[in-house]
Amino acid sequence: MTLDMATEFGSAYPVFSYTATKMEPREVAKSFVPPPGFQTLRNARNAILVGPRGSGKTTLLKMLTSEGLAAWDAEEADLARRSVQDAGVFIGVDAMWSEQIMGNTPATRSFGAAAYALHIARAFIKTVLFRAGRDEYTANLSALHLPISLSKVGESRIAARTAELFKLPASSASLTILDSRLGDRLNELGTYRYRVPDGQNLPEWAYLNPLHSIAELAQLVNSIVGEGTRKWALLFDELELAPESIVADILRRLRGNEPTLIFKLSLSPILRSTDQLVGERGAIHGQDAEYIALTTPYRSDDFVAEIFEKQRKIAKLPIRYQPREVLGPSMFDAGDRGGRKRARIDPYRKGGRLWNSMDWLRRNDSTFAAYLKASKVDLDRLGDMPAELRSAKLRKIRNLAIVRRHFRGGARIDTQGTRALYTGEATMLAFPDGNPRMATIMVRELVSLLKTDPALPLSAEVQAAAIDATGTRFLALLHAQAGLKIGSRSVTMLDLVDAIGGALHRRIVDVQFSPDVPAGFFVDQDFPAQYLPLLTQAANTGAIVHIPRQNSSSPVAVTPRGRHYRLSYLLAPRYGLPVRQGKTVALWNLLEGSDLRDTSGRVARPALISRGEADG
Amino acid sequence: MVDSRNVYMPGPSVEDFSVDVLIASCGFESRSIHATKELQGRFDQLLVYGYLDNQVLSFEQNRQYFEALTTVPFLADADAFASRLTADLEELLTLDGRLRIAVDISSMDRSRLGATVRTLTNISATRRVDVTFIYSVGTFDSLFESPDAVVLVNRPLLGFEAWARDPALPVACVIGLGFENILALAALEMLEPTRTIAMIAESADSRFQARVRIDNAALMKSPDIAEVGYSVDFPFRSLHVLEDIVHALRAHFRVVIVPLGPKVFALLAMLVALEYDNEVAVWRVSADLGRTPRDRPALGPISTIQVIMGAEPVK
Repeated sequence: MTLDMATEFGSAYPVFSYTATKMEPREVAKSFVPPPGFQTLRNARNAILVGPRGSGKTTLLKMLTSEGLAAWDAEEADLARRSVQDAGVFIGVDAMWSEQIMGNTPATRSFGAAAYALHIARAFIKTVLFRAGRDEYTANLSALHLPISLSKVGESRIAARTAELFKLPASSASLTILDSRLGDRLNELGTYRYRVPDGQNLPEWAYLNPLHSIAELAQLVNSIVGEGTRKWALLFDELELAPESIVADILRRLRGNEPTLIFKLSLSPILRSTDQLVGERGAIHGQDAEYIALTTPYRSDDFVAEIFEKQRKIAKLPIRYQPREVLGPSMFDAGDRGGRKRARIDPYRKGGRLWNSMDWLRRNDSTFAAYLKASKVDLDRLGDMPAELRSAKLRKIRNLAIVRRHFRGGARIDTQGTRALYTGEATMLAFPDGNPRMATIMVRELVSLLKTDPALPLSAEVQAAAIDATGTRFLALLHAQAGLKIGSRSVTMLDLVDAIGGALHRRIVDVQFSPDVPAGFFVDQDFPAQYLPLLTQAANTGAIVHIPRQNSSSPVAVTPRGRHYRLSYLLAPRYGLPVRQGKTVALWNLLEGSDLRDTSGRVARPALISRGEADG
Repeated sequence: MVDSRNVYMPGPSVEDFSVDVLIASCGFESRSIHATKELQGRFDQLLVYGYLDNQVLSFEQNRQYFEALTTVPFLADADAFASRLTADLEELLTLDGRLRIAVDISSMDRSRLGATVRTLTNISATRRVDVTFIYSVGTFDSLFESPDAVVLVNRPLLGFEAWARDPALPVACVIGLGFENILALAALEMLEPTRTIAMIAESADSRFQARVRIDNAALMKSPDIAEVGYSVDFPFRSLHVLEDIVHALRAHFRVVIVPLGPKVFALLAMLVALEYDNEVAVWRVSADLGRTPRDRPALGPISTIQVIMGAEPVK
């Protein structure tokens, strides 16, 4: 791309960082595929979305704005537009701004709160302008969502009261100009960025009460436009990055009987800096707010298939380009998953890939042969077994056997040959693990390949390249997390995840065959507290996926301790793991023998599993 | 940050070089001493600051060389360095006339470079300072492995956090590329830019550019990333290239510069950020102490850029 194109404003949204954070709601709407939680989110009075980075939190909140809903072109969009009757005000924050407003003293925290308050005010005014059809985009829209008719007198009254409540030096009859003045005030506040830490006091105008002010302004707008009962939904993205005073105010209002405002918030699964959002003082599920988890320990194939379909339509590919046809069968799919028989050819047939894997193991792995014998499974007479019995006996070990055979045969992980193991419809759809950002990246990669090579199905080599591209992007996110210095050692989250992946891999491949080999772990009391921040990063980036259990079912917590997890399926090719669920084991025991358990000296990089370029 | 009243120009050649003070660093690279050796007799005073960590590779030879010329304090971190540098320069500021300083950035890490630029900026609030930044271009070693993929720092450079007038604006990232491909991806994943301009250093050895492209292949294949070259040998020219890009972006984006690659790009990033007074952020993504020290000896040429910083001297 040329520099002119790169600096031009308003061209296509980014491929590299496919993220809703920096996209306008109307851009988000173009490729929006509603996940299972969207309906709950729409219908809830107050809601708290919980999910790691890339899980679609920002997308969902932006799709509750009138701009997002108006731009959404899909069958279910009309229903969504009718059911969302709250005026959504999106209030976002990103890493860059978070760094600019964060503070660790009362004075710098007040500075951050002032900046956030002005940001809320601008978001509110922009929403009013949108609903009134006063911005550039709405001027070209045929139909607005929740439109309002705003007279000049009404606009002037709203602007005047906003100026008073947010202590602006002057008002204006125009909300557009008022928005600009809020920006000027935010700019002026920025001059205190370096002065406050040096001891200079914030000016009186920086002490604001944003939620109280917005509640009053919402009522004022309602009364001026004749919508006395209209609710306004404040959509706070990544609320844990908001100043504590504002978080406390939101929680107080969640519990109270707020006449005009409702709140829809997004949070990461593990909160680091504050515990006021969870626990006894936090919002109670079902009472104060609906908690909506955006990750699931189960497969999300259907959701990823919908993303595939959406991208197929965007790319204008023929309807015959369905996942099954494009991706073909998977080595890991015997067609009987979930009790549904889909395969046209018997996957267990003698001479098939699956049968060959098990046969090879039977001949080369005495522990596997012993297991077959103990289970009364005769590979040579599988055809004689009733299909249901055969499926019941083999379903549990099928994927384990494929992986075990692959690596015992000399293959190495993180190679093109190993990635090819994960190709085919059933595994490719499971691979993004329901993460919409990663699913979109993978599908767009596949779609771009289809445009140049329309032969179906795509070859394993081509699919493996898409896996590699998607995995690289996911790894970049994991690499982005700052590591810890523990004594003389540097340890990163990826070091820890590598250690976990390596340990799970060894249990599947290297030791005595067992059908009950663990697929995940729980964070036991022996796991050192010094490593917990790394697990927090892993949970909040989606490297590990929460498995709800009776005593740790809440999707959000202040510590990973006591919770059950599995590795993301996005990491399966990196560690040579099957896409599966299974039992969990104590994490510190799982890491027995790993460098992370060696507390002496500099052992920074757990080189637990060999990687190489050659395939066996 | 103060309002910038800086004037930029190409720096002098070695033959025309003459300053009151040369500031150098005692690190582990053999090129730590290259510029000081080349400029012997062309500065009146030498200030050298050493590192307490990574005292490996050529460190001992460098220490012996510098300690034969001056006293070398070894400082734990950028804060300690900034305090010491400020104290040393304030002492020199009692001298009459305009102070001409040269700063050898070749072996400075980005934190110390940031502290240096901040310190000089603070000083220039009350008097004019002529600063020549000098950079010893490193050799290219085709066997040089990509640095370890350990990110220990991924946040704004201290003092270069900038400020957003409108936090709802999208982010544009101008990223200098080097061999640190994982760091580049890590920065972009953290910043989530809507526009990305990748800047690749151009030097006499074309193998460098080729290697950078190979190391950053995952990033460069994205169709929404623009690539722009800049010269390591002519920092003044490169400053204009970078400034042009930032200028084009700032109307519609929050701009952040990620200075990976040659250190001279980090300097240019900081100078451009100064020009846009608190509007452009400089992001630091680094392996910090997690990196494995490697030597890149000086190739020979010294590139320079001169900045006349701040107001006229207070009478």
